Amino acid sequence: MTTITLPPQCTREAALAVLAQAREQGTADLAIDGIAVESVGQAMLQVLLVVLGGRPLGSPSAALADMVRKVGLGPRLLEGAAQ
Amino acid sequence: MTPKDLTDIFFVECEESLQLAEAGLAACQEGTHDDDTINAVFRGVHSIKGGAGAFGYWPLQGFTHIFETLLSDVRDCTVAIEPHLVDLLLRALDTVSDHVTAAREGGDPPADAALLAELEAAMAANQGKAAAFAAAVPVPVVAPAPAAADDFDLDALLDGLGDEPAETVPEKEWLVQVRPHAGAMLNGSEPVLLLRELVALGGQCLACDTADLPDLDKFDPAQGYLVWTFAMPATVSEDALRELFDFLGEDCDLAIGADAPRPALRLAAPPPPVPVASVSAGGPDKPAASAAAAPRAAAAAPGQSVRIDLAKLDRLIDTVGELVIAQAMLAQRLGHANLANVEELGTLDVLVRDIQESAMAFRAQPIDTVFGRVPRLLRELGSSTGKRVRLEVSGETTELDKTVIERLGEPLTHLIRNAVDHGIETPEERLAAGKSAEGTLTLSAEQRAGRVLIRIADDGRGIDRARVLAKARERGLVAANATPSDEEIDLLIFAPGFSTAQAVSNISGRGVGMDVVRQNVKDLGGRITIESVPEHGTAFVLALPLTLAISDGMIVEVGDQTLVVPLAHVVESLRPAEAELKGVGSGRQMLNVRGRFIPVVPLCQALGDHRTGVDKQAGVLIVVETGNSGRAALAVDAITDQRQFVIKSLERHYCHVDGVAGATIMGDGRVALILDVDQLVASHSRPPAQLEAA
Repeated sequence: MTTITLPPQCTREAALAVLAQAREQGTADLAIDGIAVESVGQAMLQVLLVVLGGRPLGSPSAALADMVRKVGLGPRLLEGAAQ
Repeated sequence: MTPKDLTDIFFVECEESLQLAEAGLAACQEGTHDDDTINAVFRGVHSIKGGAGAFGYWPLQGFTHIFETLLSDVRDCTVAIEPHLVDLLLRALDTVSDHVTAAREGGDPPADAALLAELEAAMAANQGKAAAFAAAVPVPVVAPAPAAADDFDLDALLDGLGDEPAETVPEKEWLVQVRPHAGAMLNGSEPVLLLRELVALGGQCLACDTADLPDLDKFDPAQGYLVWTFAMPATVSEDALRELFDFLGEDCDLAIGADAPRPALRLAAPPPPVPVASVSAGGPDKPAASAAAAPRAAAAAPGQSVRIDLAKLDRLIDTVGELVIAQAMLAQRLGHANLANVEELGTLDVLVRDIQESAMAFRAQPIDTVFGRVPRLLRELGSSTGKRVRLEVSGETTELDKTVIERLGEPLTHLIRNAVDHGIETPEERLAAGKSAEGTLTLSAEQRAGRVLIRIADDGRGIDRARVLAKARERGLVAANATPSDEEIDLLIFAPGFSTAQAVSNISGRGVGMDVVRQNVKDLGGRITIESVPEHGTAFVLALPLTLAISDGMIVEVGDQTLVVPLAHVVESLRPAEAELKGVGSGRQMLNVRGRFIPVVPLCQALGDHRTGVDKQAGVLIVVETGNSGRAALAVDAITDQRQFVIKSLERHYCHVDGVAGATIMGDGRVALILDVDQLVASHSRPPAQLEAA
């Protein structure tokens, strides 16, 4: 299992980097750790939705979980509801 | 880009918006009330409000909201522009500026209740329409907590789904779909921050539609694939919500109401490919020219700009400085090999100078950024002194180094305060003196001979020299029997603690400012001079360097020392005939330059080397112009070169040395001192017993 740890500031640039890594390594055996995240933007939310494909984020930080819930993506990204 | 980067951009844009609005209101004051002017003011305030809401600066957003509402009425011609209204708008803009400062520095927001009441009263005068509008859009001075999920009234929401909102303020919760497109994620914008804003206003996200998300292979993270549906509380109007998203313009679609169709996916065009082909299109014989042409063409597009971290620019300037030193070293080595005049070295010299000037231009800012603060200062001074002052500005596009601009604000403010407090008379005094009741303060800037001259002039009473001299004698600054010239008397106002004010006001009069002003200007490598005519006014002229990093200088030899004389001071150099030198008193000499006698300053003595006296007949005299001491002739052994030099702070690496402005590294790696010509000449030519103030 490969794990990508998200940076504290999940900006558009960070989203591009995560996407590139996910494309390179494949998503089947990929986990994403959000323990360090302080803020997240739309680009990263979209990347997470595509890369995780219904699997939950690993160890989301409180800030990430709060924002994900506020924008209605809690079931998808925190609980792993299928697309 | 970090959140701090985003807020930094917001505050930079706030300053730009404030300047835009200030310029517009200044035009209104002059009688220009056309649509473009009013719209410019409105846009400035509106931009600040939009960003304040997005970043959660609620007091700023609240104030600008009311301010903007009044401006909207002005724009719609439902409120007439009259002088008292322009005055109110200017004061409101000053308060916006204070709010921005408080938000940026994390301080307490200014007390704005009284001004808000005035703004609302001005709106209320508009047949009550504006007041009703203000009441309809509550200002979230404190961000309301988001509604807890358990408290959310779904029944009420569903009841309201079929109803079209008949008025600005809906009676029940209502729905909005938000579709940010690709552009909403560019240039520092972040849609998620605005969604968070909806939550802060009491909205709740009901759904995030991900149906447009493609597979990983086709996914482009630059596109906006998501659509959010939010339920908004009745307390938030549709107008307020649209204003919140106005920040994103056409990059975000909103669909209001339960029946509104879902905003469609709008894919942005992919970025243009890097023109690799154009590099080879020029043919194999000219690849470099073609490669250079592509970025040059892009750079030529008008109106494009890029924000660069100042630290990166400073690194570039430092590197250019090292390049200048390296070039000097190369020139010296080639000179030793009798190759000093090779064509390639001349080309390199031109290129290095071009690069240096371009790098310096990156740091250049128009002086308008400092002049732009003066109208507010004059309003405050006018209100506290009862004096009426008109401002005239010219040369505001003149550019100076950013550091010079930043450090210019304080001395300029002090000079203006003094001009209004001491120089310009009260309206009654002016009328009695046959002048107009309104005083005039003139600010001008111009580039001349590698320096920028800034002139701050008033048409007031001028310096009362009799009083200044009496005060100076009283304080022992001038000997009782001394008869200083008018210029020397004027310079006494720069003495530490010197003041002729009969009463200390909150504006000036404690005598703690003018010496600091002169020191500030001097620290910038500049000089300040005074021109004062009794009953006609006083002008302070600041001569400042364009840059603080690299300058042109004359390289001279004195004994075994290599020294640099900044070229800005140099008038001419000459070898005097014996008859042109006249002895004066104990070892001093004067030089006759075309009928005008100027003092000779032997640099060897000034540097403390009394044994290695310079033979003034065998040596060279450099005639220099100083800020406060007129002209003088510096005696040196030889002039060896004239070139650019990189200014290094001596104080940072060693300590302050009188008569020395800094140091530089020569082509052979040795350190040479840069002379502080003003100080050297002043300390040589002025008897300390006569004028301590100097």
